[in-house]
Amino acid sequence: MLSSDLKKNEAALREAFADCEDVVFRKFSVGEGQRLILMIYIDNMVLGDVIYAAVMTNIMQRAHQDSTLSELVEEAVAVGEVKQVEDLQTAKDAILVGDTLLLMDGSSYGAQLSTKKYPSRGVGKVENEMVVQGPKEAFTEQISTNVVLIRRRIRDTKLKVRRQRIGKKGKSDVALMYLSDRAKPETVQEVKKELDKLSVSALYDSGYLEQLLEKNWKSVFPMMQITERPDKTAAALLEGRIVLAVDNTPFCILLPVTLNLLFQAAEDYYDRWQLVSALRMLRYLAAWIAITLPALYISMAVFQPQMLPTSLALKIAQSREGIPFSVVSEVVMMELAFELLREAGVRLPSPVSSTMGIVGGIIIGSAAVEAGIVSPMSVIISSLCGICTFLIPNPALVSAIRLMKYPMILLSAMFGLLGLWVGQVVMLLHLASLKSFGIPYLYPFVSPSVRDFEDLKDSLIRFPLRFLQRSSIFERRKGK
Amino acid sequence: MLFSDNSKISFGQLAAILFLAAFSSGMLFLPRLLVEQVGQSAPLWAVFMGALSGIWAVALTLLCRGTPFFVLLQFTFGRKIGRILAVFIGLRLFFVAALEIRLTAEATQQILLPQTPIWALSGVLVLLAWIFARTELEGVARAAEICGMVVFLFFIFTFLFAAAQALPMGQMPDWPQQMPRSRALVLFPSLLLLFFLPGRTVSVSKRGLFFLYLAVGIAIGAICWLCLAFFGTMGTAGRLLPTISALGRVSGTGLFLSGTEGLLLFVWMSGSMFFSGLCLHFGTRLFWGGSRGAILSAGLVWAIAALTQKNGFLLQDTWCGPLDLLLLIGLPLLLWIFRKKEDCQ
Repeated sequence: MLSSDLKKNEAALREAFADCEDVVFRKFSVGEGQRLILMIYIDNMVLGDVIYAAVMTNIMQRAHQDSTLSELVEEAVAVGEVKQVEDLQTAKDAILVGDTLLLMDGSSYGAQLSTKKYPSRGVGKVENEMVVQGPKEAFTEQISTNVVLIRRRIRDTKLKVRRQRIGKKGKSDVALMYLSDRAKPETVQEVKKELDKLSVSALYDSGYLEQLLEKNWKSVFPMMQITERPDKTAAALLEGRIVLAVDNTPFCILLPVTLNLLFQAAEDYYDRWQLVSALRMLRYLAAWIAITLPALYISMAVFQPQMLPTSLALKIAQSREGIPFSVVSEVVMMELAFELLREAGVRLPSPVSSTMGIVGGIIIGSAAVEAGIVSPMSVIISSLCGICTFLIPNPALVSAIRLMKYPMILLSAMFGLLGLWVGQVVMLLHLASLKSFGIPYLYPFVSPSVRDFEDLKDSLIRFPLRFLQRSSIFERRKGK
Repeated sequence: MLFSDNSKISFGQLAAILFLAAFSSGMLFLPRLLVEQVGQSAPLWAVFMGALSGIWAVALTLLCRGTPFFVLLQFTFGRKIGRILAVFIGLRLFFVAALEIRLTAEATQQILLPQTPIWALSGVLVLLAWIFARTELEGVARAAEICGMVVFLFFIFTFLFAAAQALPMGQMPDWPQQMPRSRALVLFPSLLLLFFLPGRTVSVSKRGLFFLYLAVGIAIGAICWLCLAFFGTMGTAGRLLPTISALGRVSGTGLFLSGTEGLLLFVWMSGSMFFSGLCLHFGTRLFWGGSRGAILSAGLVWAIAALTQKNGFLLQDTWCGPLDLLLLIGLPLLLWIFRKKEDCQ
C-alpha cells in the first residue's frame, strides 16, 4: 500500500527504479510551498506537452494550501483518463506502461494519468496479403491503432474489446475482440480461460500467442489464422469468429479456423464469383501439386514408368542420360536448393532479393542442367512446386505444405506410388482428426449437412454474394 | 449437432464408412466369385445380396438398439460367456483386417511392386491400419466422408466410360437359376462394423441403411455386368482382379496415365484400409484396449497377413463364409431368442 508520507513512497519507487536513468522523478511544491507533489514518468514514453501544459501548469496555478490530490485531479488535470492508485505495484506498473504517476504529500493514494506516447509508424500498406482490388491498409505494432482500424469497419456496440496483460515481465497488452451477438459464448469463454491460464515472461508476437494457445501442437498445419488486414479481421468478426490482437505486432489472430478459410484471400469477396471460384480451385490444385509432384515424379520415373505414355517415359529417360545422381537424390537436391534460395530471398533486402531469385532460378538452374548435374525435368518439377506455393494466400499453410512434401518424397522413394498413397491417406486422416476450437478442420468438406450445406457455398466454389447472406458455422445459433 | 459437444458421428459419416467397407471388398472380389459360382446371373445375385445385406443391417441395428453389441452380449449371456464371445468377435475382426491387408498386399505386389516381398508390403499396410486404429473414431469418420466421395465419384466416372464401351456388346444378365455358395457373401464382413458403430452414431436411419447396401449391391451388379460383357463367364472367373481389368479399359487423356488400373487399385485400397483400420480399432478395444494394445493387435494382424503360406483368396474361400454365418446370423439370432425369452419372463 502507498503511504501518506511522500518521502517513504519516493524512496520505495526510487529503489524499484534504481539505475533506470530514463525514469524521471519531478518534484514541485504548490500552495505557497506548503504541499509537495511528485510526478514520475518515463522519458520519451509520455506526451511531454500534456505533462507540462495540462498537468504541471494547471496544478501550479490552481492548487492552494488545503487542496487534496483528488480535488486537484478533478479541477486542474486536463487529461482524458485518470485512475486512482493505492498500492506500490500498481504505481510501478502505471509508470512502466507510459502513464504519469502523481503523488502528493499527505495522500495515501496516487493518480495515474494516461499520457502514453509510444513511438510508432503510421498505418502502413499491406505487405504479405496483397490484393489488386481492395483496401491496402494494414495493422501496425500499436494495439490501440489496430482496435481503431477494426472499430472503423464495425460501428456497433456489440463489438466487445476485452484487454488484458499477459507476461510476468513483458506485461504485453492483448485485446480479445468479438461480436457479442455473433460469436459463440462457449468459444469466447474457452479463449478467455486459455488466456488466463497462460504463464509466460512476455509476448513478442501474435505467432508466440498462437503457439501457446493451440492444443494440436504436434501438427504442422496452422490451427489459427494470422492476418495483417483489418478488412479480413472485420469480416471474421462478422462471421462470429474471435480476434486476438497483441501489442507490438502488426498481425491479429483469427479463430477458429478451417483449412477452407486458409485458402481464401481477402480479394475473393471483391471480385466476380466466377473468377474467384476458378482461382480457388486452382489454389487447391496448386497445394496438391506442391505436396505431391516431386513424390509423383519419383514414383513414376523409378517404380512405375509403365504408367506413363511411352513417349513421355522415353523423354524422361533421355533427359536423365549422363546424370550422376539417382532420381531421388536429384529431386531432394533441387528441392533443398529451392528452399535455400527462398530463405535467402526472405532475409535479403527487397531490391536484392528479386535479383537473388532471378540469379538462383534461372542462372544456377540452367547452369546445373548444362553441366549435367541435374536433369531439366527435376528443375521443372521443383520450380513448378515453388510457383504453386505462391498461389496459397496463407503463409503458415505454405510452410506446412513445404514441410509435408518431404515425407511424401521419402515414402515414394521407398515404395513408389504405394508410398505416396500411404502418405496421402495419413495426411487426410491427420487433417480429418484436427479441430480448431470445436470446429473440424476440414469443414465444410466434412459434415456439410450440419448447416444444410450452406457453408459449401463459400468453399471450392464461391457463390454470388447474394447467396452468402446466411450465418456461418462459427456463429451462435438463434435462441442461444 | 455442435461439433465439440460429443464424440458421436453423423449418419452420413456412418454411411460413408459402411460404403467404403462394403464396396471396397465387394467391388474387387465379388464379381469373380459370383461369376465363378452362378455364371451369367451374377449381376442379379449381387443386387439381391445387397438387398439381403441391407435387411440384415437393419435387423442388427434394431437388435442392438444403440448399445454396443459386445456390451449387449455380456449383459445377456453373463460376464464370462459374454467375454468369450467378445474375444471371438475380436479375433474375427483381426482376421478380417489381416485378410484385407493380405489381399491388398498381393494386389499391390502384382500390379505395382513385383519385387517387393509380401511381408514388407503387408507391414506398411498394417502400419497404416494401426494409424487408423489409433485415430479417434470421429476423425476416421470425417476422413471416410471425403474418401467415400472420391471413391464414389471415381467409380461413377470410370463406370460410365466403360459402360459406353460395353453397351454395344448387348450382354444381358440371366435370371438366377442356382444359389451362390456362402463364401460369396463378401458384403457380409462389413456388417461386423454394425456391432459397434450404431452406438456411436447420433441417429441411424434404418431406411437409409437398407438403401445404402442395396446401392452397393447395384454398383457391384453393374461391375459384374461389365466384366461379363468384356470377358465372358470364363474370362471373368479366370482373372484375379477382373474389376480392375474391366474398369481399367477406360483410358486417360493419353497425355499422362495411359490406363486407370493403378488409380483404381488405390481407390479400392483406400476403402479397404478404412475397413481394416476400423476392424483393428474395435478388435483392440475388445481384446486389450489402450495404445499398447493397438501395437499388439497390429503385430498379430501382421503375423496373420504376412506369415501365412496360403494366399488371401484361399484363406477367404476357406474361412469367411462359415465364420460370417456363425457370427452374423447365429449370434444375433441367439441374442434375439434370449431377449425374447427374457421379455416373456
